Amino acid sequence: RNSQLPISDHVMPLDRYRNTALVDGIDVRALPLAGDSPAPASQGKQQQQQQQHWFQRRLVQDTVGSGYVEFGDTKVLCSVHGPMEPKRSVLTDAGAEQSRAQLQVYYKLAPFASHQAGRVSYLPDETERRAASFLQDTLAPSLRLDRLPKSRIELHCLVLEDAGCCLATAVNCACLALVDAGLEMYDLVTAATVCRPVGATDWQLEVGDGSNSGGSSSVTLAYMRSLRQVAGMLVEAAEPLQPREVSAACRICEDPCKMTHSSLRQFLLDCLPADDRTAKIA
Amino acid sequence: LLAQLLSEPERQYIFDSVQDAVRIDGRQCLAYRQAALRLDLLCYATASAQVSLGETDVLVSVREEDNPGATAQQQGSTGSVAVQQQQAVSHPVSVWVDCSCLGSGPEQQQLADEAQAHLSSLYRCLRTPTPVFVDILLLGYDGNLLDAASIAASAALMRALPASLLSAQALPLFATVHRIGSQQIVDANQLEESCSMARVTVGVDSNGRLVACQTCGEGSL
Repeated sequence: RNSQLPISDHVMPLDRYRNTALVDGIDVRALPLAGDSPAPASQGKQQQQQQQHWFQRRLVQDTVGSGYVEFGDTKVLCSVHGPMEPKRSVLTDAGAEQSRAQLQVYYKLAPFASHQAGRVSYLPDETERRAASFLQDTLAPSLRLDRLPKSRIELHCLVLEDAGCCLATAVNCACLALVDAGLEMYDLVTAATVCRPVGATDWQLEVGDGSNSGGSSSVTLAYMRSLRQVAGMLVEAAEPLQPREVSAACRICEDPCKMTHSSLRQFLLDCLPADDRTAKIA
Repeated sequence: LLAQLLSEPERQYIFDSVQDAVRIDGRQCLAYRQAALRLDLLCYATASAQVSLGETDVLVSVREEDNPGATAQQQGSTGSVAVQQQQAVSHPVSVWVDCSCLGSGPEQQQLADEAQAHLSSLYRCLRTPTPVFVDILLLGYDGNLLDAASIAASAALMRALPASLLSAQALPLFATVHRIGSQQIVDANQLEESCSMARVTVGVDSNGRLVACQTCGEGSL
C-alpha cells in the first residue's frame, strides 16, 4: 500500500480487515446545515439551536483512520496512527505497563487558525499542550486499550479554524477518527462547551461562529451517553464561580452532548452500507 | 517515579483497603498529611515559601520584575496618563514548574507541564501591575503536587504582592480528590495516585468560589 507501514504491522497480526478493505473508498456524508453563511451576532441565539455538525471521515489517505468535523466555522481534522511500537523508557519495562496500549495525543492549531490571536506559532504552546492532555484523559476511558497490549496509538489533532468551541469539537472529531480507525471503544465520547461572559448570569452554549470573545468563563464537558459517565470536564473561569453555577453549567452541557452523540452515531451507521459494498470478502 | 514499578497484587491491596476506607498510611479518606510551611528562604526573590506535605517538597520563589515604562509613567502622571497606565499594564502571573530534581525523563516532564498548566489557570483571575514570575521547584515528590504547590505559591504571592491588590482578590488554593473504585480520597500519596482512575482538581478561593476545575486521569466519573 505504502512504504511507510510500521514494522510492527508485520510482526503483530491485527484485526484490521475493515480498514484494508476500504483503503480506496471515500465516503462523504453531510448533514444539512442550517445557517451556512456566518451569522451576524444579533442572530446568535436563534442559530444556537440550529447549529449542526458536519462529519466526514477518511479524509487523510495514509492513516489508519481519520475524521473531520465542522461545527459552525470551527474546523478540526484528526488522524489516527497505529497501533505501532511502544515508546521505550526505563520504567516501562515492567509487565503491568505493557498490558495496555499507550495513547499519545498531539494537538495543534494551524498558524492561520485563530481569529483573535493572529498567527499562531508552529511550536505547541501551553494551551495546546493542555488541550492535548485533556483529549488524552477524555478519550482513554472509552478506548479498549487493554485489547492492544505492547503498542502505541497516536492521535494527531489539527485545528484548521478556531471560531469558538474548539476543544469540544476536537473531542468529537477525535472520537470519529478513532471509530474510523476500527479501534474498539466502550462508547462514543462527545463534548460541548457553555460559556458565560464576566458579570452575566446565564450560561450559553458556545457555537462556532466566533461570537465568544476572550474574557468569559467556559465549562467543557465530555460525556459518554450510553454509559452515562463523564469522561472529562474543564472549567476555565474568568471570575470566581459558585460551585452550584458550575454544576448548573454541566447540566446544560448534557443535552448538546447527547444530541451530538446521536447525530455522530447516525452518521456512522449511515456509512455502513457503503462500507459493505466495497468490502472484499477474502 | 517509583510507583510505576508497583506490582499488581500491591495495587490490588491498596485498592481493596481504600474501598474499606483504610489507607495504607492509616489516614482517613479525607485527611491531609502533616504540612509544614517555611517562608522567606531565598534572599534574591521578592518572596519565597517552601511547603512539605509528607514527602512532597515544593520550593516557590516569587519575583516581581520592575517595569521601567510603568514607573516613568507613574512619576510624570497627570490624570489622563494615569488612566492610560492602569489600562495598559495588567499582567497575568507567569508560572514555571521545574521537576529536574526528580530526573530528566518524559514522565517528570509531563508532571511539570501538567502542573504548570493547572497553576497558570489557578492564577488566571489575578492581574498585577508589574510582571510577576512564580518559579516552582519540586524537591521531592510523593503525590499531590498540585495542592502543595498551590499552598506554597499562594503563600509566597501573599507575601510579595501589596495588600491593596490582595484585599480585592483572595488567593486561591487547589484541592485534589482522587477516585479509587467507589471511594474518594484527598491528598493521595504516590502509590495511591498510581491506583486511582481519575481525579478532580478544584481551585477554590477563600470565599468558597471556584476559580478552576478540571478532571484528569484515564477514568470516567
